[in-house]
Amino acid sequence: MSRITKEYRVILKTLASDDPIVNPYRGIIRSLNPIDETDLSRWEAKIYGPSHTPYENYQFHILIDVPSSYPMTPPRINFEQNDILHCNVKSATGEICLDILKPEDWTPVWDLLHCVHAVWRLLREPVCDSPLDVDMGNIIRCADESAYQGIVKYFLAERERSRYH
Amino acid sequence: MSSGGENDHFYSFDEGDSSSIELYESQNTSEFTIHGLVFPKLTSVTSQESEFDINEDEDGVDTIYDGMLDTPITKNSKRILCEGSVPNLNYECLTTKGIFERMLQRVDHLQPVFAIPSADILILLQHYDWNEERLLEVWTEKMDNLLVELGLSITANVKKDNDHNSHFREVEFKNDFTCIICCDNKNTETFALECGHEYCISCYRHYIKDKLHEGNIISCMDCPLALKNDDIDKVMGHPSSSKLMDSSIKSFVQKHNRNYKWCPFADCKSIVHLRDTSSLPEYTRLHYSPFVKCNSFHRFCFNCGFEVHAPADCKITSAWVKKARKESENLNWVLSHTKECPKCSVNIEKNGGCNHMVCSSCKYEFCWICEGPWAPHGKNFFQCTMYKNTEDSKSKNAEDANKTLKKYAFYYRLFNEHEVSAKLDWNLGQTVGTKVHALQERMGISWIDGQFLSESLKVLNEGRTVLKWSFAVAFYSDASHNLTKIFVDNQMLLATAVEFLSELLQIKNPEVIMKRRPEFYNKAGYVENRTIALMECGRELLCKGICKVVE
Repeated sequence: MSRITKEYRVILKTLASDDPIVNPYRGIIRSLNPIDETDLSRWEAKIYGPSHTPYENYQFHILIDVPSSYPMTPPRINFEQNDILHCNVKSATGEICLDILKPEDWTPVWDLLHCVHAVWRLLREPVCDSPLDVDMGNIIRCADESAYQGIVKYFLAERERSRYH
Repeated sequence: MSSGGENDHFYSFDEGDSSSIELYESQNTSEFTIHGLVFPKLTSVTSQESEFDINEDEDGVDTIYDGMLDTPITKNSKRILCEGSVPNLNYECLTTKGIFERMLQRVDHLQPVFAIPSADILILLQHYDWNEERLLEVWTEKMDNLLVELGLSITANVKKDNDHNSHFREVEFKNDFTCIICCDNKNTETFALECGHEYCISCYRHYIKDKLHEGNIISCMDCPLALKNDDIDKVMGHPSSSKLMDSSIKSFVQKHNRNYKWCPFADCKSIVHLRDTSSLPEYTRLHYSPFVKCNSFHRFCFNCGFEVHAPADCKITSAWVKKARKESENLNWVLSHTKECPKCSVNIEKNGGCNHMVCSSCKYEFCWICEGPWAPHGKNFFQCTMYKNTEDSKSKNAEDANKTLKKYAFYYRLFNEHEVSAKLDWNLGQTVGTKVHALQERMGISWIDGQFLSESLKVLNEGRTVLKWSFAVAFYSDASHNLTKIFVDNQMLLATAVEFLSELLQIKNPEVIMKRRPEFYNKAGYVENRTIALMECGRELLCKGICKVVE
């Protein structure tokens, strides 16, 4: 468990900094911290939607489970339920399909910051060849940019509306 | 490639296991002896013996095969077909180790072409699923890029300004080392490739252990530089790379499951490789099944991967097995292994293959299957295989279903009885070896002369398997057809013969065994003949469409 303790220290230091060299995650990761300070196996993160995508100006909530076998096995990472509409995410459960988070592609060198960053990159570059949400995958594959923009924006606007009403 | 060379090849894979060679050859010899002595007229009828026909002239087979395809089946050619002229299967039995050794030989062949170390070629082959052609194709196209891609090229990944003078690819002991994986500070052994990514040995071991079963190339945790088999063994401290190669070969077999099949028997690690699968449709068309035999003498069907199921074909077999699974849930066929003696009601457990039971308490002799007295079975008529359609044909729907169920129950029971018997016979087989020993020691009989016992047991096993599956055929056959009646008659004959032989094999006293030796020969020969007759008859039912699966 000493690894995750050390990571926690590094994360705190990194995200607190304004120096772009120390903290390359500015504008990407808003926060990354354990849900309960005494339990380092459950984490949450907030990321910003990447600019020039329909996710811009929205924030997304990520839940992270760190197994006891970490870092030999990858952490389990999900979005919050119904938080996002994306071709590599099952919206209802928040399940994410990302290759580096699969046990066979995972390597122990990566840490939680890498993982969250990778999820953020997934928002910028959806992989429509292996979609979890087939409909979204098809829209992207048809290169129907306006439909893609429209449906994601509609989903997110609805999300905000239902949150504050 | 000459056929003779192939043959040598075949044996060379067994060298590691000399006892299996011995067994294999002795089996050959004994078979020859028995055939020569007792069944001179017998020729191998189906493909089952094809293992011994490795030198078959392939061209000859092909011409027959081609001819079959374009000429319509005349009565004459059909007769020829019925006599068993499906092309022989040309196959070999391997193990993952055997396949790997063959790959190593290929690596040696490729080494002059590639001009890189053999260990690197092995990794290239592993990556391309042991497909030489594909590898060569990519190699000529990409060359050095390929090496970089797969983490074999060192120069591309090495940090040029490596200041610490570590010995790469060696386990080293370091004081106060900080491993960035576990974040522990400790005095520990470490390992690193030329890239300089150094981790403590326990993290490296964990990492490799998790990857071994995947069969893919294992690379450094932080870059694509590949660990070679030597490195893996060094890190793990014992030869673990064989496990990785094993997994890789396994995935190779899985991917080539048209040509390679695992032996379905429990704990058997054999793989049967059939090079040319073009004759398989021919087998199916003629309702033969492509039975093969692994080095442990397990016989199974190459088509469906099930145990030998003649006379039933794969379709009947799968339908029957599916039905058995379904019905056993519906009806809960718990066929207990004990029965009450029909006379004195004492519980009797069957501990031998023979169906001729003698109650130990009241000495009543009865048949295990029908629980009737044994006397009528022994001499003339073995009625147990006959399903008596006692009810009238004027049945209503519900009654009809009930009747099918009854019919099925009847056949399933018979099937099961013989399956249990076959298992018990197998146990019996374990004692036969001791018996042969006893013969050798007490009677001064030579080993070869004692082989008639093992031979008889083999014939018995084969006969019983055929008998067992014949009930599946009988269930799906049109009972009113004359041929079905002939089939049932054949079943009875084989059943009687099998019981006789099984009884003979129960004899424990070596003197009695030797005295009755001619009987063993006669009965075994008879069982073998009846087995073939029943198989052919069953196949005819299938060919003529009298036996078919109706849902």
